[in-house]
Amino acid sequence: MTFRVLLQTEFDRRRSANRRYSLRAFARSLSVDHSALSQILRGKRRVTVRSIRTLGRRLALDALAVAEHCAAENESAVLDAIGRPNFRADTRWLSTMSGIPIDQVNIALQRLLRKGAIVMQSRETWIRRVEAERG
Amino acid sequence: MGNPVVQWQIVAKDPEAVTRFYSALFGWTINASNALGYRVVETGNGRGIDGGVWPSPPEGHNLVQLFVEVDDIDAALAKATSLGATVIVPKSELPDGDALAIVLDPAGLSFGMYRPRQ
Repeated sequence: MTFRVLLQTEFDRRRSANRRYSLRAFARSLSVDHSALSQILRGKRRVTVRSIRTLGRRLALDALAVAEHCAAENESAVLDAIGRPNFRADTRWLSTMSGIPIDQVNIALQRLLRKGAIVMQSRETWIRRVEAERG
Repeated sequence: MGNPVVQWQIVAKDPEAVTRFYSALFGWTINASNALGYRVVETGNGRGIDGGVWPSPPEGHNLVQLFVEVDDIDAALAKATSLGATVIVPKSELPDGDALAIVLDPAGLSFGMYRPRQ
């Protein structure tokens, strides 16, 4: 489950208990701007690792769950960067493009390789699995 | 050729702290000026082998891996799996031209298969 889905699920749970529970109330409970929260829920804004740590605390997630969500968001950002037309097979470039520290980029790469979500096909070509399957 | 152990690797939750520790303890030098930002550890002596430090994911833990050089990673992986090993990171061509794969042996120890740039 992505962090966005987790937020949406929590919002839905609260709404099912109280039909008048609003997005503004949810944002207030998390101490975040409601328009930013709305954008996150609609997938219009990426959730940063910093936000996940803050919101995770407010949602009483345990440390491992927060770390897992941070890692998953980093994977998503790295995958997006690998799909860019100007992609360079270079962790330092990925770090600059995604705004993620180099060690975190390498952890994301490691996890993506283990899952088979990316393939390092040649020294210059890293492809996402969907593209690899298309040939 | 045989299949020599050519490198050790520390996989660490806090790679920076580990690097600092060994650098201070043994005077090993660290060079991360490469496309992966990989911390290459040079022990500074013609004997023994050099190593590296790599970050561990949140679900992982601190460990040491050995890398064994092979001519053909695909063939080595096929042989390893036929002997009961499990591939955890498939063959990957690295930006500097080296290639590697990470395998779990039947006892659950992870190690790397490594092919230098050609």
